[in-house]
Amino acid sequence: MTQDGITQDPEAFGAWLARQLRRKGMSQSELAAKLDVTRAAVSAWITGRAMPRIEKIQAIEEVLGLAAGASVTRDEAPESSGFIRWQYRPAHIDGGRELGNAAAFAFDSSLAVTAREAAQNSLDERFHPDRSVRVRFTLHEISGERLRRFQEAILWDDLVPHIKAAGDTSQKVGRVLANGLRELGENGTLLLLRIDDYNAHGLTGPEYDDGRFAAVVRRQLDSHKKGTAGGSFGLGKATIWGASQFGLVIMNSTLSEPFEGRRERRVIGRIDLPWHKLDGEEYAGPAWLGEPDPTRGEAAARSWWATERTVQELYLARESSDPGTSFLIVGAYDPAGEATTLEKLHATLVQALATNFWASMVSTEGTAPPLEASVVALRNGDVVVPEERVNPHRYEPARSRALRAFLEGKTIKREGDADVRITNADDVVEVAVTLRVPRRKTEAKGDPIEHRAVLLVTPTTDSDERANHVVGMRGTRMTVLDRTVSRLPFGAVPFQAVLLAGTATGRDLDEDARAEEFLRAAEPPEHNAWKATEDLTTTYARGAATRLRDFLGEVYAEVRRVVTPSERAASDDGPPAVLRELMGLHPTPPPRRPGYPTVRSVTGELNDEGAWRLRVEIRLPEERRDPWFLRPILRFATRSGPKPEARWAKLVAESHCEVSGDVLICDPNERVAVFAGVSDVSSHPVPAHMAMAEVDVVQAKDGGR
Amino acid sequence: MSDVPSKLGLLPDEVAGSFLNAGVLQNAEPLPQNEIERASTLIDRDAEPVRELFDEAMGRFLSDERTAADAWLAPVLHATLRLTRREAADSGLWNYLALRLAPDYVYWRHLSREAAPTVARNRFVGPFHTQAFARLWWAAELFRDGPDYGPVKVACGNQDVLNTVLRLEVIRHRPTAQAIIRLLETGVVRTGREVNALAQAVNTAGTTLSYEALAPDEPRDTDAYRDWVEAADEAVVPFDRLPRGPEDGRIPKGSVDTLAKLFERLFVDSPAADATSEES
Amino acid sequence: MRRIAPYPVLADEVTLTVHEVRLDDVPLPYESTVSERDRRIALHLVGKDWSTVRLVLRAAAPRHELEAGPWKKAAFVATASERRTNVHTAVKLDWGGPAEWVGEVELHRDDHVDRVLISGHLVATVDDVEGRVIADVARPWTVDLQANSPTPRDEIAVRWADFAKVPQLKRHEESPWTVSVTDEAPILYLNSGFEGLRAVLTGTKASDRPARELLASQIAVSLWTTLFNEAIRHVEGTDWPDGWRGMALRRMLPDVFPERSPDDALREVGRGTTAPDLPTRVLHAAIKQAKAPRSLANFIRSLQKTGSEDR
Repeated sequence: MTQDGITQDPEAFGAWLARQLRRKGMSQSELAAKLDVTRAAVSAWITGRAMPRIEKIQAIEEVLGLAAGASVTRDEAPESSGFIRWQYRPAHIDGGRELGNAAAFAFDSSLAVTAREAAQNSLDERFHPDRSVRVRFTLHEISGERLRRFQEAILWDDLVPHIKAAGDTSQKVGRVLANGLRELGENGTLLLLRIDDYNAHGLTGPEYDDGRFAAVVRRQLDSHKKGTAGGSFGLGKATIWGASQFGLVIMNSTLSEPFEGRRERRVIGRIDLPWHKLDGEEYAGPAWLGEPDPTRGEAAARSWWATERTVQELYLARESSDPGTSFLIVGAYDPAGEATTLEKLHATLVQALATNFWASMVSTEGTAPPLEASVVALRNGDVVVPEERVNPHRYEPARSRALRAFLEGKTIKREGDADVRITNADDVVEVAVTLRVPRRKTEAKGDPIEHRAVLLVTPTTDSDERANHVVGMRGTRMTVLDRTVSRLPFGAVPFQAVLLAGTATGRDLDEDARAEEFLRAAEPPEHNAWKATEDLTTTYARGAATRLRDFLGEVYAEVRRVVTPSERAASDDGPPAVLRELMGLHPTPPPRRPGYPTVRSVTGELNDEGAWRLRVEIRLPEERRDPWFLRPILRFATRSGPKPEARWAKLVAESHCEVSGDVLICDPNERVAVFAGVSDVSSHPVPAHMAMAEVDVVQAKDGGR
Repeated sequence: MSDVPSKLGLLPDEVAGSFLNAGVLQNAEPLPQNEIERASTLIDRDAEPVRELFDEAMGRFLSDERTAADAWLAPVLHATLRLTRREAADSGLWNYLALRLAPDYVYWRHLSREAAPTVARNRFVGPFHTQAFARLWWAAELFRDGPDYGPVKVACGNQDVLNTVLRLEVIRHRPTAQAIIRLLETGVVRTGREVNALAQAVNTAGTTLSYEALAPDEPRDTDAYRDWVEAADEAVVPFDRLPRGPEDGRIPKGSVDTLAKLFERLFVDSPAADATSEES
Repeated sequence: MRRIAPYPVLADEVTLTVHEVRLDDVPLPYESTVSERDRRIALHLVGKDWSTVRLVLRAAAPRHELEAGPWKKAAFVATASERRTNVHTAVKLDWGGPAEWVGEVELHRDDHVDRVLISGHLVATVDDVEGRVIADVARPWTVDLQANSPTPRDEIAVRWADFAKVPQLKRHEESPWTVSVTDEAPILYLNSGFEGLRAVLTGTKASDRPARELLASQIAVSLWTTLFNEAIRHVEGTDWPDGWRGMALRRMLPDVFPERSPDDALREVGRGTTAPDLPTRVLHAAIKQAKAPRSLANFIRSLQKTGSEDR
């Protein structure tokens, strides 16, 4: 720091001076007295309105017991001087007790939820709108010497009695605390989960008054987020503490706008314990790790500007000077109890990020995506699971494809009244669905505003287990709606559908902004649906719930329409293949061994009268009990039409049969029967030498004439 | 007839069949003319000249000599409604004639004479040898000798020729058809039973003899026939004498002679035929 | 049934082959027009006006048998017939070598509609009787005037139609399918206006196959039952009806009366004194034609496979 630096940065000097007074426990008046200046002058220095002369600066250094030139270097190291410690909030005077972070129990917690909320917060806090927000999750399991050094850095020994006391209860939170301590004692390992964001605002603003810092660090249910960027109740923060068995999180911020003239390494820690009693004292629960602030009473602690070494020891060293916040969750675990190993935790985080933020991670040529996320896992400094940059196309291929096509303007749109259909595996169909946003109750009466949401439909592979879903999102590009489309027509191609509503449509229209607000109000704390929430019904005119239902119904209907296979194919494509093989009219070959008697051979000649003398062999099928009653038929072939029959003048049995009238009775145990016959000439339609004769046998029901 | 259509049309089999319920077949129920017209595809042929024939037929012959009308109607129908074989093979045309143009004729000619008179379904919609109009046209086409409809008249004079002979495949060989008619003309066969016996004999013997080889035919001149079909508009078809048919070539007389002799022998030698002739 | 001739006939058969097809004197490409295996000639007639087709034919008889036997002056008569137009032309082919004859057969457009049968027979003098038929063509040819490629067409036509929009089908518009029967051909109409029917039947998803086949066999059972009942009304005496009816009966009668020869079964139906259990027999024959037992079994099995936990 040069002389110039001092003269040009009175604010920084003022902040520094204030810190020194705090540490010394000296008031402004006392300093003024010692320096023989007015209190107003000291006040002016502290607020940055004025700067003391060089001689006064030296005097200040002396009075405060600092090394010469300390005001220039502003070499702090309050840590080593013992200024950093845990400040515990005393119990409420009125006797009220919080038995745990109320906010943390507002909804089901799990590591996936933590990841989602953390990344969402980071997204909401984007600083440079043209660059991505980069979020990095680091799982670090430490043990042995590392663990000990870390515990020293966070003044663990000071915390333990409080944690023990708070753990001594039958409430759920107490069990978790006790469990955490027990596991730490048994395994000797501690899991740290660090969540960094870059290109975010960081924890800016004053220590106590409204601002990001206070909202995150101090307030329970404070949504600092202005405008449409967020809109939840700030419950998301609670999940970060909820991911620590001890409710213990240390934060390090690089600020986007200076505070106290500084930007880097604003550090503070907070632990969320329930009410507990220790050594006769009652404590409300929460405690902060920071620099005590006597101006606010004993209970408050402030953030401090840490040295590089300190943030290293706290595992909070950031990788670049881009603004943003790093949260260190101490004693991280999956509250849902599902992931236990480092690998599983890594996978859980990756999956949660992919599932919830794939849409924010889709980029197009020339534009950075809103969010970049990666996850890495270490053990005592060694990489256990390498850093994985979450790739939306890997985890949500169809949906990412759809979104990218939309962003690049390569979707297939409906033209006029024609139906738009999916023809190729890569097609992305774009359809508009109208949401009628009603007026707010506070506004003057008027017609609903029409917002045209964008519905994208694209085919997915057969193996996609979650095919046929519609996912819906608004400006945040976080999946809010995720529903299976029911009543799909038979033969519909498996698909994925993405609904972009509100400002997610990427246009700069007023209708979109209104729709964004509307849908935000329709989201419950879990952000997993659009429905008639209390917020919605209180804010908007009557009929809001109906409009929302109609909109969603229309979305499903459009999806069904798009994926319906064309009923009326332009070409009459002939018989369906499955039917064709059943439509054959061609003759089937007769069985080689039919189950009925057949004529096997006919031999003979014409006699002098012109009658046929024939010897006929009959093949009999396999054995049966009853004899065969067969009538031999003599016919003459014709060019067309019926074949005239002739009569037998004589029938004589030759073997294995008997003649009875005009019927042959054949022996059922034999395979062949033979008979001889002479035709009755008078029954010939033409002389026998003019015709082809045929002999056949039919079964005679009657026993013979 | 309420209204006479101006053009002929084609009425598909399934549709035509759907109009033929019991009431219609008994002439107790009218055919829905408008509906039939709507279900038909019209073709570019005038209906009037054809309709006229049926009126003339019903005028010329008394109801109890109606079978005789066949011999008159067949040639004039063929000469008026000039069709290629391809066109004549479309049953839709015959259905239209029977259901739309002249159902009255169908009733007149084919209503049975019994206690509950009815027309057989296949007179309206049926195979070419049975349908009321198709049978006449095809009889004329298959029995004419070039432009000479004389044999047609002979053939239609005997109902068994129309009922039995017309449907035999063997008569598509023209000399065979002519030879059978020759025997009718010369009186070798007279009664219905004799005709049937002859038909059977010819049909049966045809499996051992090739009439085509024994009695070769000359190919018809299809171009001349086509010209004749296309001249339909200018043609004047006489009613009081036999009209003149297409000049598409005469059947070789020698072939007919050969077969007539053969058939006569077959018939005479036929043991079964002998029996029937003895009985009759 | 066995035949016996009153004079010596050839034991072996005559083979008829088509060498060339000329459309108004322009030869047509052989491979795409002529199918030797199916004995079919497909005439590409889409949008083309032609007047004459000439077929160059060759007939071959078993030479040794012919020369050794008592047959004299053998000659081959080629025939071209179409039942629908009552055409039957016959041409004696020229001698083309020992036991071989060659020649041409001409077909005229005006004379034909659909299918022309090209066949013939071998004629000779036997025992001083001229014109004896001593052999037939075992595998005759068919000229298809309405085909597009040489494939067999001996099957029941299946057509899609929106029943509500077709006058003759309108009264069935609630039904998913119907059968229409004429002398020429039976047609199975599938209602494209019946929601989802087309999608099910033409679908290709493997997992839907059992349902698809079950539906197809159900359609086929009702179809074959209808066709059989219609066809037997046209049985007179002991004759096989012409055309498709005869073909349908030939396929089904062996299953309706498995204990009888086809001719015998035909008599049984034609006689009118039908077996009292005929409807049941017909049903089972139709079930067999439709391969219903197999498709139902597959379907049931597929049901048992699904029904595991749904995600």
